Amino acid sequence: MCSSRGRAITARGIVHVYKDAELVVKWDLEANVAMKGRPTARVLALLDELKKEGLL
Amino acid sequence: MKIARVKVNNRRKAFEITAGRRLYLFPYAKLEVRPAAADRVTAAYIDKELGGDAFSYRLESGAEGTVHLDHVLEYNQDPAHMRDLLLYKLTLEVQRRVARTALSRRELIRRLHTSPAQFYRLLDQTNYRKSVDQLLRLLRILDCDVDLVIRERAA
Repeated sequence: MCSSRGRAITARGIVHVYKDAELVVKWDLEANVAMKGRPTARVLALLDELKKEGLL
Repeated sequence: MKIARVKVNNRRKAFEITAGRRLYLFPYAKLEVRPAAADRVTAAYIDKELGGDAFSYRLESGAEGTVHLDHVLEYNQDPAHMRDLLLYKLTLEVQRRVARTALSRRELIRRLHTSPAQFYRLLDQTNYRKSVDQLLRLLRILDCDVDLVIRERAA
């Protein structure tokens, strides 16, 4: 059985996304680019959705 | 760098965070979920779900908050962290200038006396293993003057 847990933390226009305690991406919300890591298309879509909903 | 230890110091109204070989302070005033006289911090722990890169804390009311180590390093003006931020900002500026220049990438690579692979590493904003010097050389080739401005920080 495989289980995974994702979490994100936002501060000062930067969001850190983690999956299974590993950093997936450090994302600059202003410039809309990764500062660290390589986000998957799914992560990018999620970030976009959260941004549109005003949650980021 | 990971957080090795986090300690609540209600007297100083700050968290004491040990990371690397240094001790950093992070004041409650900088928190999003702030404690008050009637709602003090009861616990702080290294957040394993965030790979030990952050710590979480709990207030008497049950409210919780999380602080990433990057935020702590930025508040404390950690030299290595500030260097990475400078590299990142410079790289974004270089990317903008490269996109705008009439010079071909081949010409930029030739004038930089480097390889295409090294050139693209310079343009990669997620690469922090390059020097500020290399970016300054590239900006110079892109007909940019880079001035060093030192100013007092706003309180």
